[in-house]
Amino acid sequence: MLHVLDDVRRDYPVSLHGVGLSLGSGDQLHIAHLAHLKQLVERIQPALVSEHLCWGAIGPRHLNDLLPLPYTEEALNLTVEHVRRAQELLDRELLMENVSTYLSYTHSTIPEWQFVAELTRRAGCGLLLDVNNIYVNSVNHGFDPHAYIRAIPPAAVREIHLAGFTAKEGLGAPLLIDTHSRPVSNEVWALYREALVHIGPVPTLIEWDQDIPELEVLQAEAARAQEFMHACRTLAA
Amino acid sequence: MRAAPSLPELQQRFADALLGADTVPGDWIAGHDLDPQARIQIYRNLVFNNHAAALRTAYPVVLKLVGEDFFDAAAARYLRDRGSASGNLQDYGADFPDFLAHMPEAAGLTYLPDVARVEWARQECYLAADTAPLDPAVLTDMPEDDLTKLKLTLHPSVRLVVSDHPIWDIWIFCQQTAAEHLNPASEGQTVLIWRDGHQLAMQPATNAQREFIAALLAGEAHAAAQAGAFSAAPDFDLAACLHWLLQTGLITGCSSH
Repeated sequence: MLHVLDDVRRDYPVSLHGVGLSLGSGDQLHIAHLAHLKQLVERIQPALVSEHLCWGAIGPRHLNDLLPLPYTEEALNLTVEHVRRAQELLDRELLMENVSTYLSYTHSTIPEWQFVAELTRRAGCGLLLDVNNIYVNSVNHGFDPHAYIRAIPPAAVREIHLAGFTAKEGLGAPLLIDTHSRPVSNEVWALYREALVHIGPVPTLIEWDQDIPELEVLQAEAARAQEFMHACRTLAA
Repeated sequence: MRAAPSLPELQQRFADALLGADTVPGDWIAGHDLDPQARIQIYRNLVFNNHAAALRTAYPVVLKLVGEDFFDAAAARYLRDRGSASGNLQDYGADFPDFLAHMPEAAGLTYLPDVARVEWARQECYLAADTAPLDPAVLTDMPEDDLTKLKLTLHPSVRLVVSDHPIWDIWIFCQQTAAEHLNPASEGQTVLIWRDGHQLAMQPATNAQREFIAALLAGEAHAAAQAGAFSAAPDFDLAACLHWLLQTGLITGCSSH
């Protein structure tokens, strides 16, 4: 099956994006998974390698999902240590992506944006900034997404993700789910513009992997991101 | 209000809650106008949907045989009882055939676990590593003495599923849209699964082919494999079988020690 990836790599730079490493596990770094990733990295020679700022496994149990971390000194120290060791083992920079969350913990002591910025600084890793996830979390947890963007260290951001969300009805409180099944919302496009002004142009991916539309629809989304990036370049010049 | 949990403690309780009926203490979670348990339920649904989707992808024929409601109920119980042991979702479901074999509600479908074994073998075959085929000249140039001690290695994608049930007929039946006759009580069949280039391939195997290939997969010497095949069918065409294996690129190594 890897031949497909080999074929793509022959003609394009590739960004490898992981979902299963669980760097926020409170008990262990998953060395075997990391060793497999290293093999793949050596074979594909990707431009970028990224994972998520979350946890998905504890002990022998894997939940195979991007689960929310409490934003505490304990979780920060542990994630910093895991990201550092992962970068050492891979012998390259890892990008960490901010995730969508549907709950937060009462014992969190650090705002999410500060946790992300601090992780980047202390682990010496890059950032994959998901602008849709910032917006989704700002609605789900009631914070200012603009302040989040301003808190991000621009030099650390190597890639941006955009996606569409789905609003969950009938809960009695607004809740957005990061479904990757719809067009990017206007609010997220506006935040993307802000992010580009703050960070400068960086490679941007439209994530749409559920209810995949006609190719033309995807191309139009990508073209719109390209226009924003072009406008940002013009602004900078 | 209880003391804040340590990270491992929080994650253990969260995993208990997502995989079973257990709950995370409500005061650990900030509600923000929404019941903390409703927030947990969102994650419970996401985790179940991810795992059920992985099983549906790996087991389309089982799904077709038992229907969506039965499949989802089995998937929910499988997640709770066995769970996932890998960060790679493509590993999930390896022991689903065994789970089905022990599921009381599926006891009437005696062929179901073996059909599931075929599907998992197909998944493993599809994901198996690439290995270069053996150059046939290595065999033709081999001294006669060495040939008697010869051990052949098959391609990592080769799988053999042996059953007391007509698993090939059932699998073919489930690929068809028009209703054909099927007798699930007819005699057992063996299927051979391999990767032909980048495509998955499958065919029924004769008793002799089954004995021969099963012995090679078990690491037995060529002579023993050959003896097993001939005892299953004295008219076994060994040359044709070897020729086919070589031509299809399924022999990837040989040794004569």
